[in-house]
Amino acid sequence: MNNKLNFEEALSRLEEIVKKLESGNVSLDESIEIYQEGVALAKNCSSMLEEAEGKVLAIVNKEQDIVEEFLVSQI
Amino acid sequence: MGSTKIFTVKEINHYIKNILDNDVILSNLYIKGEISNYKLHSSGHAYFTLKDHDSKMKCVMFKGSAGKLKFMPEDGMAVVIQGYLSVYERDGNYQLYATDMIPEGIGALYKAYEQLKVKLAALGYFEEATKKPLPFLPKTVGIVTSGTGAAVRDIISIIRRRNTMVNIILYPVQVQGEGAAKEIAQGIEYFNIHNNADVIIIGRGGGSIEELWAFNEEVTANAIVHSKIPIVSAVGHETDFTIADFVADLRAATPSAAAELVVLDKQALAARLNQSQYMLNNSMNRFLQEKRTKIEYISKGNAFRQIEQRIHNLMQTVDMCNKSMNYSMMQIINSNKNKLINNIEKLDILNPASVLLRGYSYTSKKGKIVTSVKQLAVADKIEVQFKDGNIVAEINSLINI
Repeated sequence: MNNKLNFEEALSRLEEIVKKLESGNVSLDESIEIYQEGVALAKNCSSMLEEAEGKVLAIVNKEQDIVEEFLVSQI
Repeated sequence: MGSTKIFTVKEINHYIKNILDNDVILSNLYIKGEISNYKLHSSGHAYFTLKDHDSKMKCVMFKGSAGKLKFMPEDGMAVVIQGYLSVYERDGNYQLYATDMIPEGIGALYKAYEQLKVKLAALGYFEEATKKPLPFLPKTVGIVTSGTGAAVRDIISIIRRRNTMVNIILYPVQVQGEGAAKEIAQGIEYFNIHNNADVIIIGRGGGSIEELWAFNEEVTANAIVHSKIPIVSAVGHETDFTIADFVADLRAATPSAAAELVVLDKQALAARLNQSQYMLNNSMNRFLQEKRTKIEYISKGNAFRQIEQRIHNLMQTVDMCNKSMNYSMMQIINSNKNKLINNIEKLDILNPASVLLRGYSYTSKKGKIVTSVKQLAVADKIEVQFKDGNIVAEINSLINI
C-alpha cells in the first residue's frame, strides 16, 4: 500500500501516525500496527529522497516536440 | 461665365484633398485634444471627434492603427494624436486620419495596463478563490521564459541546488517584442496539452514597462487563467507588478524567488523526515511506557490491594480457626483425661483391697459378701478376707447391735 504513495502523501501519512501515537488514543494492537507502517513509510521517504535524480530538458523544436538536455552552463 | 471653367463637386473635393495631402504640416502632425463620441466599428476602424474648448475635428483611425493601440480610447480622454489631415471626398469633409494615439499625461502603456487590470478584475481573473495551490513537491517544473539570460539560469540553478529530485522542462520563448505574449501563452498551453509539468514558472528578468509588456497582455492573462496547472509569475524585480502577476496563482518577486517558492529544499525535507522518524520512535516508546506505568499503577491500586487484604484476612481467619479448634480439642481431651483420673481415683477408693490395707476385712459366706448379722447363724462357716490372706471361722454367737 505504501509503495503507491508519493513523497508528499507518505510524509503526511507518517506525520499523521506520529500524531495518533502521541495522542495515545489507540489500542496497543493498532499502535504496533501503525508504528510498523510508520517505520516503512520513513524508509520509503528516505529512499525517495536519496534515489530520485531529476533531469533538465528544453524543448528545442516546438512543432515536433523535440526535447533535449539543457545545460545551464551554456547560457 | 462663358469662358470660366466650371468644376464638378468631385473635382473640387479632389483638388482640396491634393492641397491638404501635399501640405508639409498637415501631412504629418501631432495634435492634442479630447476624445468624444468614440465609436469602434465592427470593421475594426475607430471613428471619433477630437475637440477642445472652442473647436471640433472629425477623426478616423483605421483598423491597422487602432488594433496596435495598447489601450482603449475613451470619451473624455485627453490624447495626443499623430496623423494627417485629408478629405473624405464622398462627403466633402476633411478629417484627421490618426495613425497613433497616446494618452496625455500618463503613458499609453500605463493607461493600457490600468484598463486591462480593471477589465480582468471584472472578469474575476484575480479572485483568490480561483487560485490553485502549488504542489507540495513537484516532480516536474515547467519554465516559460527566455532560453538565454539570467532568469532561466537563476531558476534552474536554484531548483537544482535545492532539490535534485525535480525534473525541469524549459519552454524557451521571446519575452519581449512583437509576438512575445503569444509565445508565452503557447508555452503555458504546451504544458497543459502535454500535462507534463506539476507547476509552471513564467517570467523574465527586469526591464522597462515596454520590455515587460508581454506579461501585461490579455493573451497572456487568458492563458494563465485557463491553465489547469498552477502558475507562478516572476516578472522583473520586486517592484514590478504585471497583469500576469495578478492573474497567476502565485506571484514571486523575482525569478529566483519563484524557484524557491516552487521547490522545497531537500535538506529541509530530510530534516522534516528525520524529525518524524524520531518522533515516531519517541511516541511509540512513550506510548508503551504509559501502558506499563498504567499496569503498574493498577496493580498497586486499591482494587488489587483489597483483594490482597482479603486474602490475608482469610488466611488469618483460617489460622484463628485452626488455633481455636486445636485449643478446643485440647480442652476436650484434657477434661476427659481429668475425668478419667478422677474416676480412677474414685475407683481406687472403692477398691476393697485398699480398705483391707487400712486394717479392715470383709466376711463372706459361701462366696457371698455378708453385710448384716442377720444373714448369719451360729455355727455357720464364714470366710474373713484380710489384705494378705483369708481365714475360715465358725460363728460362736450372734450379738445384735
